Amino acid sequence: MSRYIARRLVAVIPVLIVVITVIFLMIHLIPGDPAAVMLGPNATADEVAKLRRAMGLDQPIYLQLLTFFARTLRGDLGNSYFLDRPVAQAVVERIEPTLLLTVYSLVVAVMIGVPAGIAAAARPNGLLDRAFMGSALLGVCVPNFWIALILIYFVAVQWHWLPAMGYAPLSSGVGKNLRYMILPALTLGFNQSALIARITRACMLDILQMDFIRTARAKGLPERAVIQWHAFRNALIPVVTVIGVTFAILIGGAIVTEVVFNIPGLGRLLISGILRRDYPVVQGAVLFITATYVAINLLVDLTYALIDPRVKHG
Amino acid sequence: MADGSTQARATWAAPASAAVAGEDRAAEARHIGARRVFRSRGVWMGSAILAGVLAMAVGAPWLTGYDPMRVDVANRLLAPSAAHFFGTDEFGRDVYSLTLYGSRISLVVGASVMLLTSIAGVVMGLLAGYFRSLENLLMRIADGLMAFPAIVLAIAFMASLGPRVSNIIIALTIVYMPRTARITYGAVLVARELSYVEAARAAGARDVRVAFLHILPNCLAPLVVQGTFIFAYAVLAEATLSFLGVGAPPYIPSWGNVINAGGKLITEAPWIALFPAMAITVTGLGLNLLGDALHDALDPRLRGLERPR
Repeated sequence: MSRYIARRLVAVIPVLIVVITVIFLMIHLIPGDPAAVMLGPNATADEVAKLRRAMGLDQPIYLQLLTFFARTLRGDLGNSYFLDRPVAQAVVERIEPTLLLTVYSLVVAVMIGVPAGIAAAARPNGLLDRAFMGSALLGVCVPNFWIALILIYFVAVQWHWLPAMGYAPLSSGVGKNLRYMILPALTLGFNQSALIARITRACMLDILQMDFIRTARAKGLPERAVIQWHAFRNALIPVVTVIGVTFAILIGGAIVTEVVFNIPGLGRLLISGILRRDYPVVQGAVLFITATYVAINLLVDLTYALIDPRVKHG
Repeated sequence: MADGSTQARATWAAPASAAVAGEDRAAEARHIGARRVFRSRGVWMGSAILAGVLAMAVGAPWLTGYDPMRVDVANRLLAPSAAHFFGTDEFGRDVYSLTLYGSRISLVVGASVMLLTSIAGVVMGLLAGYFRSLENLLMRIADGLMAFPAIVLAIAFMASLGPRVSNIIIALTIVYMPRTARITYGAVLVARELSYVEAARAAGARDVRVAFLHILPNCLAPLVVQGTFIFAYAVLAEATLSFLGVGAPPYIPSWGNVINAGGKLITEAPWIALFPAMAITVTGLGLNLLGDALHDALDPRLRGLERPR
């Protein structure tokens, strides 16, 4: 087991090298002089030169890359010229809303996806199966910003049940925080529940064809008990993995949802960074989101190996 | 060599019983696959929807009398009516025309990304799978690019390249290319061990010829399926980037842009965002139906599990 963990950890190193290099190259893909682009057309040549020096753009590129690696590994993501503080600090301030949104959405996705997948698999090609899988297909195709707008229109504007936009931090009370987060969580969770439902159904169908299920049925167990105690428990392993992967995907999906609902999280930080041409912030936010994504995927893999001993020998 | 995972991948290229079979057996498998594709209801439904969207894009000038860019402030925010089927937006532009012309951007982006990822991904996958010296480098780059959440990487590239339609195509191609490369690479790993490839090599065929003429045809099925899904992702991703304000420039009538503008007026004029959103959903539905159906028809592993009609 420890060998598997070590191998999996070592495999992350080249991934991180590519990730950091790509994020470093972002600045150099900007057409023209990045410093001039950042400062806008009204900046003087002196100001541009000063920023170039401050960002290290006057150094040879390999030196810039090495400095970027060294800084990133120390947790130093540079400084934001517009927010006037270290990017790392700006990122840390924005973690709470994004993390909460991701967790709430995951709860929504699992609560919809798993029961829908099981019900669909219980009678393949039955009415429920067709209805759920039809909705799941639709869930994959509907843009989540559109779901957000529909929810805002009906639940917030027409019926006045919940606030349309904004955010209340956890420190102002869980109830208040939840009031602001229900619509965003439903938006993001609905899309992802489609994936969970499809995978749960597929796993259940696989398991339901196995001999031990036939035995369970043959010894006279009610169908409900077969599904609940024999099939679902065995289908749980791949489903748990998908839930983990979903958690990682949700972090990316949170960006769009945050922008629609005006939630001050990492996604809003990233998009406002782009619109202000605040590239250190963009790099910092992308790096943080991606590092979290990599870390969650790693944890999922390790958990999978823990639950299913076949993996580590594979 | 033939461990469980290799066996599983081998079934993509040829039926399991013929894992070590000759090239004509593989060709026969492709023939059977093609027959199943034409018999699949999902393929026809998905293709019909796509044909409809394509007709919208090509026939836009004949299907509407309004120029999508024409500003008509006197007629702003009109509800859907006989004169304006889908209403008008805040500048008095006809939402029906915007929706029709918006399909052009979506289809151009979707099709270009599908084509470019297929070409670049196949070359990358073939090189990595066939030339062992390149294997490590290319696949580690692919892994690194796939470590980013797709939309985050696309946003990052758009931040650097700037909001232009051509840049969306470049950004999304970089994002999705490693996925195609990985599928090709997997298929090549299996195919390069098969006896007909060995025979071709023994007959003196050059590496490039073996890779493109003997190995590639057997990787086509999964690539076609993947290409369809990449088309669907790209349509949705373009809309998302434009909606966020980092995709197509605001003056271009793309579905994401129209929804972005309509979203701000959702309480006064919900129709602005409604119709382009429906168009995205229908296009996505067509592509996903097609992709799912192609997957079922071309993946021999599912043959025994065909659904009763």
